[in-house]
Amino acid sequence: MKDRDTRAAGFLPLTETTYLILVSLAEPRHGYGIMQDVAAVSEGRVKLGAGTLYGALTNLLKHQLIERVGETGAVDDRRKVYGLTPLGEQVVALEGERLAGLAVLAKQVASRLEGKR
Amino acid sequence: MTTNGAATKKVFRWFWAWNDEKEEQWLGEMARSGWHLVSFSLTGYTFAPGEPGEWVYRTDFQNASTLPRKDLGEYVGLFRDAGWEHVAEYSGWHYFRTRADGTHSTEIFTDTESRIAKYRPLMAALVFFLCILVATNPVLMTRPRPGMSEALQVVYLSANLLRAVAMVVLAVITLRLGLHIRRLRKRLAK
Repeated sequence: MKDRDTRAAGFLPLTETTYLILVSLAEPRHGYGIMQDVAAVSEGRVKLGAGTLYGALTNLLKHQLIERVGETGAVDDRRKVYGLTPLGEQVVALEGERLAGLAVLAKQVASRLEGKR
Repeated sequence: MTTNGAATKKVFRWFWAWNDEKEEQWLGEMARSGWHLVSFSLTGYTFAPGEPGEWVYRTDFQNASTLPRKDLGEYVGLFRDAGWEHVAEYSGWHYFRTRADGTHSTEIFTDTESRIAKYRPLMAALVFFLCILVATNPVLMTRPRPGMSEALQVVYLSANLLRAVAMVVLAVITLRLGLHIRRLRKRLAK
């Protein structure tokens, strides 16, 4: 576990795009499903281009943070479905902790600045 | 989409990798005047006549390691889902088009890193060839020796000259692409 923790920590901090893609893959999805989910959870702020998403998926597959878990759709209209690997889950958890720490800090700073005014 | 039986036309035009935006614009202009890209190769662009219309063209570059042949369906499928039609492919260059009707994004790259990553395999190939040329230089750079026949001397000299020219051209192209990436990074950072 320790080894995986260190390995997972090596991927931090993630870019917002990468984090949102990984979070979206907490449930297995195909590429277009990821685009829709990322747009939805970011309230339309992050729209992934097809080239950007393909590059990100290739990269995440290479680093074994995600894997192909199956296929969906009709025979002539197959879509690959991706999911998180155990390492990927670890990275999402670690990045979540990091962001939560930052969120606490952000609140403190906000209230301190509020107090100054 | 080839119109039944209508003659296609072939146009030769050269765009360097750093002029990809100009190329995309030009393909859009061709579509506006009723000529739609059907294929591309070193010898030129082939267009089929059709309904003039507003199309947005975008190009991507993938090599055998970023896009193995077996993943082509997955790659094209992802673009299709996002509203893109895969119209042509040549030597790693992929041409996509979409309707500029406002229903979906007309960009295939939505962040700076991926926009620049497009050139990375290309840059790697250029640097690789440049390294090979430089590394093999002492081996192949044989000077004409005394006692050599005049014909052989000419062969050696012209071979060396050719290698020197190739090296300079390759170095200029690599530098030019590197500059383009730097400028793009600055522009997109704003």
